[in-house]
Amino acid sequence: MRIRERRLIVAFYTTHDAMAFEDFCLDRGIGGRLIPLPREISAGCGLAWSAPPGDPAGLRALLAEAGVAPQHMKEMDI
Amino acid sequence: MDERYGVGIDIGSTCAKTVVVDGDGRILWRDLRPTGWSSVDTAGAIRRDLTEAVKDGALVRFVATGYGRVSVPFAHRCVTEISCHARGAAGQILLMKEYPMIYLDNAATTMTKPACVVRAVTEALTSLGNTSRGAHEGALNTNRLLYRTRKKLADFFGCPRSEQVVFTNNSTEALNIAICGTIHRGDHVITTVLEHNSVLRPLYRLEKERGVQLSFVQADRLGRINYSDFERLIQPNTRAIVCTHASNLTGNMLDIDRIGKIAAAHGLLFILDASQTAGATPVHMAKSGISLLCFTGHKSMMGPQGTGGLCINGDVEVDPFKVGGTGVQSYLTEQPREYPTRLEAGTLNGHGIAGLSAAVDFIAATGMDAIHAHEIALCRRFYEAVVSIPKVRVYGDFSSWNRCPVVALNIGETDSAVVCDALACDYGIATRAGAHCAPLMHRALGTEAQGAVRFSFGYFNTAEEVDAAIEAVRDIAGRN
Repeated sequence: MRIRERRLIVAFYTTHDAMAFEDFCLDRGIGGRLIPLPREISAGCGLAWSAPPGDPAGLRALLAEAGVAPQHMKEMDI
Repeated sequence: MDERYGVGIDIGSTCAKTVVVDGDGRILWRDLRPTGWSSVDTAGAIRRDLTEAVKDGALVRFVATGYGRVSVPFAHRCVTEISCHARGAAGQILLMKEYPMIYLDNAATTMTKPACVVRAVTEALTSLGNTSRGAHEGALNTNRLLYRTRKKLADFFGCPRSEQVVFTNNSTEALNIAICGTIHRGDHVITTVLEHNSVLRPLYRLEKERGVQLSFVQADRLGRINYSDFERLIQPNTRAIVCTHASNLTGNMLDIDRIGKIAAAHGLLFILDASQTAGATPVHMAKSGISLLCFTGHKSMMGPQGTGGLCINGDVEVDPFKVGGTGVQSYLTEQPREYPTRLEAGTLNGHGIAGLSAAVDFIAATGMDAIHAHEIALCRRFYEAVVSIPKVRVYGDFSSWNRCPVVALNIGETDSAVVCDALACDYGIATRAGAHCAPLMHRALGTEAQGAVRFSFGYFNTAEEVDAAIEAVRDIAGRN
């Protein structure tokens, strides 16, 4: 198994929002990637953004700049 | 000039006869052999033997006859003995002289696609996973493709929100979603007699199932409408104006800015069928006050068949036409409410959308104005030549060239299907006869019984092809 690490996870209302945020981050060289939605956030399926931990305010600001409303945001070990 | 050959294969019940002729009708090779148990194997063997008679790289036209003609899968045309006798063998041999086909049925679908579209679809066939079904690179690649294509299409059609660009399989599906998703029991809808059945049949269904009232803006013998009729027909329960941007039969274009203003002034939804215009004529939802724009990808947009979409302006609520898997919110018992997921149950045509995306790029790089100018120049060349040919009747309003590149005509009282078949068989020209799924337009033009032969021009057509079509019409008119 892979070693679990601390990450800041963002869930989205739509896949379109997830893709918009990935596009925004890729354009600006912002770290992070799309991952399968962890079950701790929602027992469904879908995409979440996995970012380095420690700066939820900064991530919220980026989401606002991208025009994307997060459904959930949580720091967790994954 | 490439070498051209005509090959006639008659797969009879006892023996198979084959003849190869050159462009001047000289017999170069002949063959007679038992058909045997398998006409498929016999056809294959004949084809292998033909390599001795036909040079590599030559243009070859195959005509197959006989009971086993369906066993010749490489034939360009299979005909019965009856049609051979009716038209004469010479008529069939003429087929080879028109190779390759002159395709003038672009209003049905554009047959030639830009090379970048072909490449995009080909690459997509080995690189795309299923959108929203996983977070691996295959699925994400498709998510990215769809996201970028939605953004392109939103810009292309002036749709304010890219997440409100919904992919569908064609215009018909988009129109069904738009009409059935917004028109409720007891509503009244205004439409026109120019409409295609993709508008009419969903409306007729709602009339029957939901008691929806319908009013039709009529057209004159040139297919023109009176715009004041829209206002005159408005009732207290009017919910929407649903209409086409252009008639698929006459090519007459409607003034959508004017209709959009009427809809806005009375608080009505404006649902536009842009099947005939999207890609070759600018359509801007925000500027024209279009609430719901329905388009297809395979006509003027020059994308693959099986692509299209519905663009939703502002806060219009559209109920889903179908529900099912979305890859997200899987434990909800209802379809998610968010666009575009709300209206996109089931796997999307990612491969086709890859082609559509490339098609939008092609149009942007080429210039919509340049595309439209080329198509209209061809249309005008054709119209101005055929309109003066004796016995030819052209339908539609040609007082302005702000129209679609379509010319519908008849020759005397000859059935349009007969003219269309002669164009295909004797001249290799592909057109469309009959009713064109536009029954009310034909009624307005007085062509219900005869139908009409529709010539529709595309970006990849040439002036030489148009001239050949003009001569064919002249020739047929002279014979009738």
